Amino acid sequence: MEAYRNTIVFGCVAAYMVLCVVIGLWAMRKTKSAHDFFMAGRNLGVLVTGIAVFSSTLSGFGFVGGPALIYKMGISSVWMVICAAIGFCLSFYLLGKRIWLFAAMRNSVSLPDVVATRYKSELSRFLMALAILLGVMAYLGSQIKAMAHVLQDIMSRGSFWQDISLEWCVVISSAVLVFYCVTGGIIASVYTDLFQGLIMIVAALLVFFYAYQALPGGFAEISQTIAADDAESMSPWGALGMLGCMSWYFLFALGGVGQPHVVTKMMMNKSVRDVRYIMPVSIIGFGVSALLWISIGLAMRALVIKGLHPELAAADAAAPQFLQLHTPALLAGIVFAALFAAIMSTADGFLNVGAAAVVHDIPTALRGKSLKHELFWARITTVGLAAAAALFSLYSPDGMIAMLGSFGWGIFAAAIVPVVAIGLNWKRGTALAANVAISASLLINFTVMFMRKMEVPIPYKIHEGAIALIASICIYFSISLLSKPPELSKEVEAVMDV
Amino acid sequence: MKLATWIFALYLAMGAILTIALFLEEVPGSHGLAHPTYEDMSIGGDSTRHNQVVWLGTALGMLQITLFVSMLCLAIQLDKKQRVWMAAGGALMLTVFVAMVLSYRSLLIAGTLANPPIFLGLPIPTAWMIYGLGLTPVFFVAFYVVQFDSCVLRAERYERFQQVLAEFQRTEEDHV
Repeated sequence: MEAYRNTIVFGCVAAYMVLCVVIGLWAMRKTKSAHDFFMAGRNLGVLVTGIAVFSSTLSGFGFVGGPALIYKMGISSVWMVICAAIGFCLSFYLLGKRIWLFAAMRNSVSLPDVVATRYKSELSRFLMALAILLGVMAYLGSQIKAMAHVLQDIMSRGSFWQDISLEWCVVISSAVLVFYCVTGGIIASVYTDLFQGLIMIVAALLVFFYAYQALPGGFAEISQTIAADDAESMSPWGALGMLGCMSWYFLFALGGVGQPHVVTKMMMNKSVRDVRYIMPVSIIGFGVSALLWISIGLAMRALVIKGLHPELAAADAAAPQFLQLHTPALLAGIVFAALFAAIMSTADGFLNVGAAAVVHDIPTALRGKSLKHELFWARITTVGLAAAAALFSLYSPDGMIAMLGSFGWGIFAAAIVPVVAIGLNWKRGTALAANVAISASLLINFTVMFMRKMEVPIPYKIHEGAIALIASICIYFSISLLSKPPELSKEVEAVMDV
Repeated sequence: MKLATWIFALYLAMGAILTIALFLEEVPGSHGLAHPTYEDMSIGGDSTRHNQVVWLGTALGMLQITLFVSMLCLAIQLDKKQRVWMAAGGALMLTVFVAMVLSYRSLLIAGTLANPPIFLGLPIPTAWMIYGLGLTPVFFVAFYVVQFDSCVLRAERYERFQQVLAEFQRTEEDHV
């Protein structure tokens, strides 16, 4: 079987992509209106929504970047994982019920719709849509580039198309993504998310088992090996240090509430009562999948220190090399398919919220109504956004994509957490505060990106996103408390009183 | 003090701590050093790098946990007994966090950080972090599931919402 390793890996990935296309074709029959395209007819069950929420949260970063960070700096990046349970609690407590009720009140199809209802402000709708669009464009490029690199890595090892260019890899992987997003909209997205989430869970459990066996003494020996080499790396703070780790814990726990492609899915379940069970499904799914993140990173660091694996040229190779050299061929194939699943499940959500911003939210904010033939334009826009992101991922300068990925995440967190997570639960929040907070979040994140480009260091490597998030929330609270209390409509009062 | 004001105060306190940290003179190696042997690995190096910020870091962590639990309470309606349960959950998380910091410091003082006692495959402080801090929020998951009808979605409030919704939809139809 090992002789056919590359063929098996390629076969698993190809089978996964074919299945995504089939789901897209199936979902096309169910997509009859823009409401179906953006909101899945608000008819999803507990399992589908729960798994879609967690698989959208865990992007390709969790499967490649996560293990790489642990290989690089020890336990530090585990703070991004252990905050997941409290992060999901924050998301569901703050938004699970409330956002569903807001969506039900006005038959909303997007997050900016909900914001416009809450604040009675078209400017708030416009700014939120703009923030989402900027964040989506910044983030989507990084996802497409990650997909293309993984595909190129797989193809280059086989004999079928060894010298495939990165451009072709972008075209092939984006074509599959765009196909199911265009044909089946969010229905295809959530059902592929379901399938993708299940693959991630299976893959993570199997990989955990193999990582455990990397050294004869299991994780105890792995821990002792790393601690003997550098005690701090295996301590709770890892190489990064205490303040840096605490800033990650804060940002990733609270910032998760501000991810539009995740939050929007909380509007799609059939009944508001379902959120009671969706939360545990999402947490269990994420928790199991994150085992891959922790186990591969620790195992590879210990293996290299012990001299049982050659030193890695780059930390990002930790997961691919572990899969290629320490797991059976079929498992490697499943995990590579899971990696595509992780990237695509995030990217499809971005495409959908980005298309909603262009077709529905920005026109509604500017001219009082959305575009005619919304479904048609939504499909065209999805293609356009993917093409723009693909071109950008190919032709932007080195390092720019990673920087923009982080910029996108920062914008989402700083713009959405105060305005949506707090604003939907606090009647005193005003439209002026929401507008200033969104604008400030854009400004702060642009400044942060500029500072990073200029290589201005932040002491103790405190994450700049955490600073931006605290600043935008403080701005929102301050302006709300200083301005006249808002007059809420009867419907908004009714939603906020539930 | 109203809950929202309390939350705002917590954010301001966190902002103040981060501001202090930004103006402290950084100890060399405070956010890691290059590994002497392996190019793309970092090490934490000397543990005394935390001496200057251990109180700030501990305070920041405790404020965060208090903030998270306070924010959970912002979206639900709690009676007196339920408030005690939420406070107990918060206290549990804080205890675990403090236990993690103290166990790290005790290994540091004992000089056994490089050869730490292991619990379920991890050094004790890291075990507190991953098993303790990572899993204690399950308490809030259980609370949400069990208390859903009484503090998340109360029947009488939801009925009132449905009445307003029906009224609103009638008005919208009349407009059309």
